[in-house]
Amino acid sequence: MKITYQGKDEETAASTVAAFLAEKGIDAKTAIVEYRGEIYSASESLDALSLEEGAELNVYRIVSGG
Amino acid sequence: MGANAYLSERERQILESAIVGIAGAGGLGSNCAMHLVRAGVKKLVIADFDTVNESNLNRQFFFRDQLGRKKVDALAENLRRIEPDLELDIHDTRLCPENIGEIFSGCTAFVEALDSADAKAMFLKAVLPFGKPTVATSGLAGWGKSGGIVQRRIGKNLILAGDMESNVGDNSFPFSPRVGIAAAMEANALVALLLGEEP
Repeated sequence: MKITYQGKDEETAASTVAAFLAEKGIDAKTAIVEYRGEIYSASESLDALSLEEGAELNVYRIVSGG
Repeated sequence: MGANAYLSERERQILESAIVGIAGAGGLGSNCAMHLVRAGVKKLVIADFDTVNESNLNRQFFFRDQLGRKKVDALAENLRRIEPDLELDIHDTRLCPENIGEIFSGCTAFVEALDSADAKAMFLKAVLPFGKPTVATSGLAGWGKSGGIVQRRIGKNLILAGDMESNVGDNSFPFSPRVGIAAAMEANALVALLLGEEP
């Protein structure tokens, strides 16, 4: 299906947000996900979050340092 | 407060009544707290388990004569040298999912100022459901590339500052200028969010 990822069109075979992150090699435990206007953090319920055709997904990586 | 000369009565009241919870009193937390106090914030809840050590002096708002002191105690002392009548609620403790809610439940805004990616994610997971203005960072190691540190607004209440890639790790370290930019960016965005303006 086609989604909008980081503002650009993206083709993916993933059916959930968690699967999409795995496809991208992103660690869900340290990512903030903005999906359909909602914010999800630290892999919370990403497994159960279905990807939908045309949906907008933004992912922000959290890296160490402070 | 020193900031009052530059604030309207409305702005002063908003900033003085805000209760800002700061998770971590290291490079980000100590400098962000300093900026918030100078900007007119009066009430802070600060948590950190660590003590001031020599390497911290490369970027953190502490002084050589405070080596060995608890960071929360030393930071409270330094902030009160700027504004003596602050209301500080300090917690000498390591944050975990079980105590974050209890420590920060009365806060009206949050600053993520922790070290590790796991701790940052843990804190955000705990406080984002409160729906309050929240600032966090990701990516500030090294030097140069000041313009690479940007802020992103995620949803209505969250601002994430950093370059999203400069990880502090085995061969990559935090230095005062770049950590300082991120800490100032957190404080700057939070002041705007508290005042109901575009961060």
